[in-house]
Amino acid sequence: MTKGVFVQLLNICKSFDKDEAIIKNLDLDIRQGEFLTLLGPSGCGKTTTLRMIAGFELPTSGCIVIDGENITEMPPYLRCVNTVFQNYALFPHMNIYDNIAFGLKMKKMTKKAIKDKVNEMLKMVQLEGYENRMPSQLSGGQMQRVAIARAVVNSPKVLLLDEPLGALDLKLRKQMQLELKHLQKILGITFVFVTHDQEEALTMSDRIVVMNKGVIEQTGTPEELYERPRTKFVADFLGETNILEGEVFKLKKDEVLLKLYEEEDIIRIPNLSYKLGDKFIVSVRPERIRIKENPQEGDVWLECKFKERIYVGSNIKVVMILKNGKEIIVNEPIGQNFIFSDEIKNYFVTWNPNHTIVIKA
Amino acid sequence: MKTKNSINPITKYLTSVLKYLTTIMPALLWMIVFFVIPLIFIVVVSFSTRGEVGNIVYKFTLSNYINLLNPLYIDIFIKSILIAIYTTALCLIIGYPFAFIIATSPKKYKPLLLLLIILPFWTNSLVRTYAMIVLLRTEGIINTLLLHLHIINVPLHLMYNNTAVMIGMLYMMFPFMVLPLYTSLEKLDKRILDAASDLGAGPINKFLKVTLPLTKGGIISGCILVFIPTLGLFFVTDLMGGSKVILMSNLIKNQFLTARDWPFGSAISVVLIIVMLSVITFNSRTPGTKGIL
Amino acid sequence: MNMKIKKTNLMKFIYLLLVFLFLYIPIMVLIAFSFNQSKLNVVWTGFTFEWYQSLLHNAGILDAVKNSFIIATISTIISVIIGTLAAIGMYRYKFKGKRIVDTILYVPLVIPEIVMGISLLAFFSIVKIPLGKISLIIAHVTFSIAYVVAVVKTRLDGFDKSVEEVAMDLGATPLKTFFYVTLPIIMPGVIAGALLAFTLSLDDVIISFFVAGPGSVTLPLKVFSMVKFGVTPEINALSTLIILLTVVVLSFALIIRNVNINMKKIVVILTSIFLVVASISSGIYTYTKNNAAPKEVLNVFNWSEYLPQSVIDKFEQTYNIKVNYSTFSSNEEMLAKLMAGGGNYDLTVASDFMVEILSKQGLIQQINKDSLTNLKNIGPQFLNLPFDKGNKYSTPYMWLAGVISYDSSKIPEGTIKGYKDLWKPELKNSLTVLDDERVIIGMTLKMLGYSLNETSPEALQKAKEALIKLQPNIKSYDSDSPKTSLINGEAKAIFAWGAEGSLASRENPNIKYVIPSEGLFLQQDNFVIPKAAKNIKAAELFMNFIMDPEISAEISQSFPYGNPNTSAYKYINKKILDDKAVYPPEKAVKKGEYLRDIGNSVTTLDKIWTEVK
Repeated sequence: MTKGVFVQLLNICKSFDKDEAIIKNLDLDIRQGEFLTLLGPSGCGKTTTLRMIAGFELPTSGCIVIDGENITEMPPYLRCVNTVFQNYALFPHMNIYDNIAFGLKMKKMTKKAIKDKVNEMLKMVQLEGYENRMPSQLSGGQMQRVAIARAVVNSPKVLLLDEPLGALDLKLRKQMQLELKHLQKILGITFVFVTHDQEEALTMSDRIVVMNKGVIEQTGTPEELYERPRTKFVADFLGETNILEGEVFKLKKDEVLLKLYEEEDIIRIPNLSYKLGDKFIVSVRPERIRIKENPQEGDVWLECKFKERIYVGSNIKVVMILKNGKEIIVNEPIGQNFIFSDEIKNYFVTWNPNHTIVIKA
Repeated sequence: MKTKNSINPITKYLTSVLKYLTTIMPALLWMIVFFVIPLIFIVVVSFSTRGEVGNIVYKFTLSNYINLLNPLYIDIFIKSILIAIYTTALCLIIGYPFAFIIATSPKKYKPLLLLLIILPFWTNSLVRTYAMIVLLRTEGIINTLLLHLHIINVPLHLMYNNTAVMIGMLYMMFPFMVLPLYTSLEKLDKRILDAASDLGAGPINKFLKVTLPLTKGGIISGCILVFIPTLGLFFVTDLMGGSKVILMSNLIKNQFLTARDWPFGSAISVVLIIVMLSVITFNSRTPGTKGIL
Repeated sequence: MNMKIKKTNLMKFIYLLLVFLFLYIPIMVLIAFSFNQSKLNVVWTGFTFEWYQSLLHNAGILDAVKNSFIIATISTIISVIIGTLAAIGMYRYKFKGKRIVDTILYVPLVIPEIVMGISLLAFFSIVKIPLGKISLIIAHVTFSIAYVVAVVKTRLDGFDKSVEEVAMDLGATPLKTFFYVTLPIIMPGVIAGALLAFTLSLDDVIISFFVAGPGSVTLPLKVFSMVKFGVTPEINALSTLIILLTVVVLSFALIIRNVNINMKKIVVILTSIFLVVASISSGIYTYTKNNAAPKEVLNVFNWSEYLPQSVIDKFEQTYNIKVNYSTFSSNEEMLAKLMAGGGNYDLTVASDFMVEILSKQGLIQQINKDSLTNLKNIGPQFLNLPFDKGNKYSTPYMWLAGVISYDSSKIPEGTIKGYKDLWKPELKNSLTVLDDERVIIGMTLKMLGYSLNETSPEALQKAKEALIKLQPNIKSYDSDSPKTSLINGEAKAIFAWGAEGSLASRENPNIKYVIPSEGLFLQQDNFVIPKAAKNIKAAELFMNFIMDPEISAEISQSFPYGNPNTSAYKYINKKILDDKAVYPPEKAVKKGEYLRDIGNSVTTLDKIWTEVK
C-alpha cells in the first residue's frame, strides 16, 4: 500500500531570531500514501515542522524534498501541498461553494470543471446542498468538513492537517477520526497529521513520529511505539505506563537482576548482553500487572501496599504504593478485580517478565 | 540529496524590505513631510526673531520664551489649562453615569441610544456652537423664556464670558468623552461583577472597587480626547467669548494672523505641544491604561 | 424589591433624558427657526421656506459646498488608500522603530488642531505652496490618515491571520490574497474609516481656517463667517441641511455594517456611492456655473461686509470674469496673509497706514493709471494723501469715520457725547467695540488728549491704564459685524465705523449716533494690487468698474460708508448723504485724524492689547 519515500526532510534546523533552536537536525522520510502523524507535547516543534512543509516557515538550514523536487525555498502558493488548519480558517466572506472552489479558481480552471469538482467534494464530505451557506451558519463539525474539502479538492500531493479535530467534542472527534482515516484510504493521498493526543495518533496512523523538544524521539508503527518504546519519553507519552529506574547488579546466564533505585526490590529481565552497572529504565503497562497476595515462581514481583481504587467504566484502576512511596498503577478488567482484606498488610504486584519493557538509559 | 545551506540572505532582506515599502512607506513619508517636518519647523521658528513688519528673521534667540514668562501670559496659560480641566471634569462627571446607563441598558435599546449620541458628534461643530449661541444670547431663547416666566427680571449675561466658553466646549466635546467610556464599560465582563456580588460586595463597593478600576482605560482615553483638543478650540472661544476671553488658542491665532509675530506664536505652540506630550507620556507610563481609541 | 428596581430605572431614564435634552435642544431650536419667518431667531412669526430658497440662490454658499465636497472626496480617497495600507503593514510586520511609526500615526489624533494648522501654514509659506484647494487637500489628508489607520487597525485586531495563510496555501499569490481575501474581510473597517475621513474633512474648521486660500472657501469656513454676522436664518436652513446630510450618511453606515460584504457587493456599493456623489456634485456644479465658462479668474480680498454681492455679479456678467471673493476682518490679518505668500490675490483693499506699510515692504506694485478712466470721478480731496503721494499704489475706495452708535431705548439721549462717556459705570457690560488694536488704543489716546498715532511710552502707559478701566464695560470685541450686537440687543452701544450704525438704524429706528467730541477717527480704504498678482488686467478692470458712478452708488446703498466718488453723489439716496454717521459735518472731519504707520511701536501696542484683554 505504501510506496517509496515521497517527502524528505533533510537535516532541518529552525530557530527564530537567534533564540535557541526550535528544531535541531531533524531527518524524516515520509512514504507515499501513508498516514503519518507527528505526535508530541505542546512546544515540541511538530506544528513548526508541518508549517515548514507547507511553506509558511523557512528552515534556518536543511532542505525539504517532495516527489524528487527541492521545494525548500518555494513559497506556499506554488507548492503542491495543502493544509487543513486548526481553526478551519474558512473565508468568512464567501459561501461554502466559493470557499471550496478557491484553490481551483487560483489555478484558473474553467467554471464547469470547478463546478464538477466542487460538487464531487461536497458529496464526499456529505455536505451536499450547503453550497450557498456562509461559514457563520455552520456547526464546528460542518466547518471542519468544508476545510477538508477545500484542501482536498486541489488534489495535493501531500495533505497537511494541523490538529484539525482539537476543537470538537469527544464524540464528534472520534467520529471524525474514523472518517478522516477512511477518506485517506479512498484518496490515497499522503497525509501528515499533527496532534498532541496520543490516543488519536494510535487510532489513525500508519506510522507515528514522536517529537520532543525539537528532536524525533522515535518513529514507527503504533504497535512498535507502544510495545517497544526506545526512550523513556516515548514509553511515558504513549499510553499509560509505570516507569521504574534501576541498574544491573547481578548477571546470570538467561537473566539479569536489576536493582531498582526507588525500591530496594529487584526484578529480573531477560539477559540481552548487559553489563554490570548499566543503568536502565523499565516500563510496565498497567494492564500487564496483577495484584497477588503471594507471588509465584518465575514472576517478577514487588512488595506494596494498597492506596486507592478508581472506577473508570471500562476497567478499574488500582493505585498501589511500593516500599518507599512510589506509586504503581494497575488496570484490572471488570470482573477480575482483586479483593483486598480490611487489615493493612503487604501485597504484591507481579507481571510476566516478558512484558517488561527495558530502555537503556 | 544535497543539504542546502541557509537561504540567500540578500534576497531574504530585499523581499522583506519590499513588503514594508509598499505598505507603510506611503503613509510614513506623507506624515513625515506634512506633519513632522512642519512641527519641527515651528520649533525652529520659535527660536527666531520677528522682523520689523512681521517677517521671520532667522537669528537664534530665546526672547520668545522669555517673553512667555511674563505674568500676563502665564495667566492666560493657567486660565486655558483650568478651563480645559474643568471642561474635562464636567464631561467626565456628567458623561460617566450616562455611558454607564447606556452600557447596562437592555440590548434592544443600545443601537438606538448609540446612534443618538453619535449623531451630534458627526454634526458640524460650528453648527452646534451656533445652536448654543442662539440659546444663550441676551435676547436668545433661554433669557426670553425666563423673562417671560418672570423668573428673572434682567436678562442673564450668559454669553461672552468664561462660563459661556466652557459651556460651548462642554457641548462640543461631550461625545468624545462618552464614546471611549462606553466602549470600556461595554467590554466589562458582567460575570466579574457577578463574582463580586457573590463575594459580598454591595453596589457602592462593586462600583468603586471593581467597575471603576476596570474602566480606568476608558476614563483616561476620554480625558485625553477632551483635554487636549480643548486647548486648541479657538473658534469656540472666539464665538462664545466675543473676543473678550483670551486663551492660548486665541493667542496663537492672533500671533499668526493679526500680530504677525510668528516666532512668538510658534513659541506658544511649542508650549502647547509640550503640554500635550506630557499628558500622553503620563498616560503610557501609568500601567494598565493603554488608551482605547 | 420590584419597586426599588422600578425607581432606579426611572431615575436612570430621567438622567438619560436630561442629558439627551441638553445635547439636542439647541439643535432642535436651530432647525425649528429655519422655518421661522422672523429674522431674529427669538419669536415665532410664521412658517416659511424662504430661507431655504434664498440659500439655494446664494452663490457663495453653493460655491463653498462644492469646494467642501470636492476636497472631502479627494482627501478621503487618498487617505483611505494610504491609511489602509499602513494599517495592514503595521499589523503584519514587526521591525525596528515600529514604536516610532506607531507614535507618528497616533499623535495627530490627540494634537490640538491649531498646532497642526499653524505648522502647515508655516510649512506652505516656506515651501511656497499657494494656499488653495491643494493645500486644503494636503492638510485634510494629513489628519485623516491617522483616523483611517486607527479605525482599520481596530478591525484588523479581530482578524484571523490564518485566513491569509490558507489563501496562499491554496495557490493565491500575496497580491491575490490581498484582493480576494484580506481586503474584503476588512472592508467594513475601511468603509468606516472612509466615512470618518469624509466627515472630518467636511467638518474641519480650525485647520482649514489657516490653510485656505482665495476661491477655496469651505463650507465650515463659510458658516464661520456667517455665524459671526448671524443676521439671517439662512444659516439655520444651511445647518438643518447639514444635519440632514449627517443623518443620511450615518444611517448608510449603519446599514452597511449589517450587510455581508464580498467583492461583488463592494463593487455595487462603491458604484452607487460614486453615482450619488457624482450626481450631487454635477447638480451643484450646474447650479453654480453661469452660462458660458468664464475664461478668467480674479481673486479679490476685501473687508467683510464692504462690497455687495450684486456688484460682484454685475462685474462677472459684464466682463465674463469669475470673481473669487475672500474676506478679512482686519488690516493686520490681510497683511499676515499677504506676507505668508498665501493666496494669489490680484486685488486687495488696505487702509491708509497699511498702504504705507505695504509699499515699504514691497508687497504691492505700482498701478497703471492709464486704464483707470473712472479715476476722474474721485473727489480731489481724497487723492494725493500723505500715505501715498501721487496715488502711485492705490486708488481710493471708501472712507469711514468712527462713530458711537447706541440704542436710545436703552440709553437716554445725551448720555454719551464723546469717547470719555464710554467709561461711564452705568454702561457696564454694554459695549461692543471694534476688535482692532490701533483703533481702540488710538481712541483711548485721543480721549486722553493725545494724537491717534502717539507712541511715547508715558502716553501709551496712560492709555493702557485707561483701557484696563474700560474693560468691565466692554461686552465683546467684534470687527466683522458690530452692528449685529446692537441689533440683537447684546450691546447697548457700539463704537464702530459709521456705516455700521447707519445699517443698524435701518433695522431698529431707536438707534442713534454721536460724533465724538474729542475728535473723529478717520480712515481711508484703498484698492491696491499685490506684487504676486497674476491677473493684473482684470484687477484694473475691477478697480475701474468700482469707480463707475452708478456702481459706486450701489455700493453705498448697501454699505453706507463715505464715498470718495463725487460723481456718484447724484445717484446716492439723499438720506444717506444726509446721514451724519456716514458723512459727518465738515468741521468734524477737519478735526479728525488718520492713522499713520508707527513702525516698530506696533509691538508695544500688541503687548498692551493682549494685556488689556
